[in-house]
Amino acid sequence: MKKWYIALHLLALAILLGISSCADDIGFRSSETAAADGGTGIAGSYARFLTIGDYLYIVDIDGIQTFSLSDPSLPVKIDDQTIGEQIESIFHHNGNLFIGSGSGLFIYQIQSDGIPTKKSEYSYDFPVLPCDPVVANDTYAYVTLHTRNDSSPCGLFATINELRIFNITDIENPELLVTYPMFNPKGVGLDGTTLFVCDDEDGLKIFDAADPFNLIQLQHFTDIQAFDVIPLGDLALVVAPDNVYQIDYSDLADIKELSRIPILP
Amino acid sequence: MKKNWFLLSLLFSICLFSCIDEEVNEDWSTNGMRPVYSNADWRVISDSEPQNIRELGKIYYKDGFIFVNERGQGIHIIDNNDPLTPTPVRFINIIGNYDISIKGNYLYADNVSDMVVLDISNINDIKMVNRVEDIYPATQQQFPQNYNGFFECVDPSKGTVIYWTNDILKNPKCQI
Repeated sequence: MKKWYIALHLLALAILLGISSCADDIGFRSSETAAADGGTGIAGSYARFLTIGDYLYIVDIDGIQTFSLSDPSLPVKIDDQTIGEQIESIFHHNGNLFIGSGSGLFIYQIQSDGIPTKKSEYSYDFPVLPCDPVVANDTYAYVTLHTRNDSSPCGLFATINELRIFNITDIENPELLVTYPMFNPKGVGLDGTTLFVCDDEDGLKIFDAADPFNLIQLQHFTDIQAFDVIPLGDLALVVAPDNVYQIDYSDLADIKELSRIPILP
Repeated sequence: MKKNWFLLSLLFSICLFSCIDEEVNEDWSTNGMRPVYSNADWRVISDSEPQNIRELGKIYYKDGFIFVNERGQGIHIIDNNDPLTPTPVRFINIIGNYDISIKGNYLYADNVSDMVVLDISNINDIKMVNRVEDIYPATQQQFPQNYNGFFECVDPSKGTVIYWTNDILKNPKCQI
């Protein structure tokens, strides 16, 4: 009995250590990305490849693969599991993986061995099949759903263009808090409480999202046909069909374009 | 969920069914996806002088550099240490590439159905150090991913499908 007790405590301790060291590796905030630490970089919200600590996660059309990067020059596949249909993107926050798909939002937790375990699934009302990148912090997940673009697979059966905010305090029970109508929202980015929504033809919208029930629009670049965004701390990289724009948001009262990299047709 | 699977399998059956040649009485056109082919050996990874961005894909950022995917064709490397004057420095040719991620000096990229590992410690001398085969089923070679609608049937004799582009199709015989 006593041995069991000690063993259990040791196990709990090991798990805790595992989680905390894991979180150290991967507790990656966008504001720290500028530091050249030989670590990982930062991707947009449409990413399907994600390096976190010593692991590489790849989502494909219906599942997620885990590769060990113990030797970073030689990835070794250690896990392969099915998730659902039309998997589109993967986002990481604090040991949790948020996976956007045409059928719903999936939340997986990375275990100490690097392998993700499913914690929850929030299915959309079928049949919708929207396209939906997701970003998250400790409390909220922000999902964009869009179906407007005819050339995309989205919205096979219905039209839905909105930003949804979920309470994810309990990752096993994500709760839909509020929905905001959008024009044709695509990529989404988050830095602290600053939320970036790429609303395609309706431009790039930047919100103070401290209160999910009362988003305050800080800036609206109507001329940037934004598709995806990477917030880097003071600077946001914004992808659009004509340019990669760099937006300086170091002063939230004066968010402005800094430069652009042209894309030729 | 079961319903989803049923519907998906139904869609695929429709696809298979509609890929069978049918008699078309008169010409008609519609919006759809057309495969873009390459006859180059898709396994060859090379780097070259900077190129213009034409088919913008996803972006990735690390340590002052922006990595911009050229859909199905490779990666533009842009030096952004001075964000006022972003400067293209290199282009890596990777056929069938859409996604990348980086750890330390290693860049992981999809290359049609494989993943390649590139050593980027010297941006001016990027080397492929490894290839992991068959990480994806090569469905990209058969139909456009995450898409529903008409598409131009793939003709493997034309080469490897490097990406799909939206176009007006005449008498398309394939649909998903």
